[in-house]
Amino acid sequence: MKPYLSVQHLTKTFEQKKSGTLTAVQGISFSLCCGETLGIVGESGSGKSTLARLITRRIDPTGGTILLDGADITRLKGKALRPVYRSMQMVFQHPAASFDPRRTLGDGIGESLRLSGCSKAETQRRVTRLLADCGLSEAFARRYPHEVSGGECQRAAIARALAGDPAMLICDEATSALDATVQQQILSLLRRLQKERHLSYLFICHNLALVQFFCDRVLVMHDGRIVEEGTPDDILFHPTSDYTKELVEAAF
Amino acid sequence: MNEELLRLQSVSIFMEGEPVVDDISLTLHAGEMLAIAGESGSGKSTLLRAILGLLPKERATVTGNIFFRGQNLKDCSPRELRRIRGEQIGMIFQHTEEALCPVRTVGSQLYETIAAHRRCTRAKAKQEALKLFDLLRFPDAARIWNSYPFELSGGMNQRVGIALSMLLHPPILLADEPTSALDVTAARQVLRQLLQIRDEQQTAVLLVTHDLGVVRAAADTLLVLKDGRAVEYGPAADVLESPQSDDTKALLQAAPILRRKP
Ligand SMILES: Nc1ncnc2c1ncn2[C@@H]1O[C@H](COP(=O)(O)OP(=O)(O)OP(=O)(O)O)[C@@H](O)[C@H]1O
Ligand SMILES: Nc1ncnc2c1ncn2[C@@H]1O[C@H](COP(=O)(O)OP(=O)(O)O)[C@@H](O)[C@H]1O
Ligand SMILES: [Mg+2]
Ligand SMILES: [Mg+2]
Repeated sequence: MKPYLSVQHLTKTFEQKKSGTLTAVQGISFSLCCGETLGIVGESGSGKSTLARLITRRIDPTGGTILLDGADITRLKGKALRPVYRSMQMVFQHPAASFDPRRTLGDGIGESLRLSGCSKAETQRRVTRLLADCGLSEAFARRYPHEVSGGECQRAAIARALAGDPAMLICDEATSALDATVQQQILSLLRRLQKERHLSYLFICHNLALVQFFCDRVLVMHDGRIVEEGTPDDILFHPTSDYTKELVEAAF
Repeated sequence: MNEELLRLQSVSIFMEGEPVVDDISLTLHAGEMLAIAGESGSGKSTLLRAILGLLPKERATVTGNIFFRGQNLKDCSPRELRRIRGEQIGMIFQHTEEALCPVRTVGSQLYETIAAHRRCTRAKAKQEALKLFDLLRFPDAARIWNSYPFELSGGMNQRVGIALSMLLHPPILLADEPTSALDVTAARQVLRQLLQIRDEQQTAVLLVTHDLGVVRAAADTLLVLKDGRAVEYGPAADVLESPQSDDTKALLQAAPILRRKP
């Protein structure tokens, strides 16, 4: 399988007035194949979300390279970034964060379509289709974020992420705020969408049981570095780094 | 039995006329950890907000009584409620954004909050906060004090919110999914801290969580909500061991379990 995303020696440092330099991501290298689900687990503050923001080019790396489908996107700027933004979409922990509270879910899902020049009728047709793909009826297009449950809102957030027909989704703790039943439903939805659309997933999650169930491969991060990499069973049954051992022991 | 701090009597809540919480009664004693579990949308956060009088007046109707040390919170003026919130009844919000101001450093917010409730120098507040940061497993407590919320990770902000409410030492702490953004090592540390204030300061903790592992590890009593109704209420161990309602059984079965080394 050829890698869809390949990251080499990626580094990000932040300058803070009083505390000086903080290296949030330190020389990380890995790749993600087409259609693969790569889990990232790690201590709170270990750099997972920063890594996600670097890969999606929301922030600029301090060093290293990012190859997307073979093309170097590390230094792209402005307009040249648009296809990058379209190919990689994020889904966050709090589904409501993906939506403007004063606008309907349908407006939110269709936003990128309208901006890319779709007619009103065409946008509406596609929004309905996206909602259906994510297991929601057409009526949800007219609802506001506070009028739906957490699980329904997360489905709508996934529909929104899929609007531009991306090749890859980055789920940053997308299931953490949901109860166990809804978590399972969202994972089944992601699985089905992956098959239908041949999506690649980067799945940041601190629930080891979900990672074990859902991911093909896992990276363990600690202090900005990858300390362990392998299949979920490799890592959870035979952890080698101190942090991973601690993580597996602490699991409820 | 310890002092009864909080008593809810047949509390029902309507949001824009729709019933969201239906006839909930419960009591909370000093030194007790009461967990509220239930699927998302079952009304857990709404119930906590009602206790603190934080529901939007225009949209929400609350019936029934909410007694804090014998005083009915429903009869309190907004001013009295402001005095009770934080100092008497602390709140750890599900979304930290609600507790933290984005444009000020963690340190200045913590200091200001503490100083509003008791006489305290900045140095003393900082010393206390850094000690608690260490206990909550922050790698570099001094940096956290000097940081803005946007410079911290999701889980770090969640723990700052926890520290903020704990530093006021309220007799009751309402915690809405306080470990939802944390890896298990940090979550364990937060739970340990909640148990410690329960045991050492006799703090009463009302812990909302959808994580039954957390309930098992920490709760004395357990209330299970389903569509705003109490489907189970009793000693946590009993409810987990022999659940009476099908809804509780379903909740217990849905929880994903980590497969261990065969
Ligand atoms: N804009 C910023 N300025 C300064 N430091 C930052 C900034 N953004 C992130 N950091 C720091 O980088 C480190 C990694 O943060 P990141 O959000 O990537 O962690 P995370 O692994 O996603 O943690 P969590 O599991 O808690 O969400 C943290 O120490 C954080 O304080
Ligand atoms: N401000 C509000 N306006 C209208 N409905 C609301 C509001 N807040 C909560 N609700 C509704 O109340 C129900 C319970 O929500 P919530 O208390 O957040 O559940 P939980 O915390 O158990 O996930 C949901 O159906 C939700 O949509
Ligand atoms: Mg994060
Ligand atoms: Mg809630």
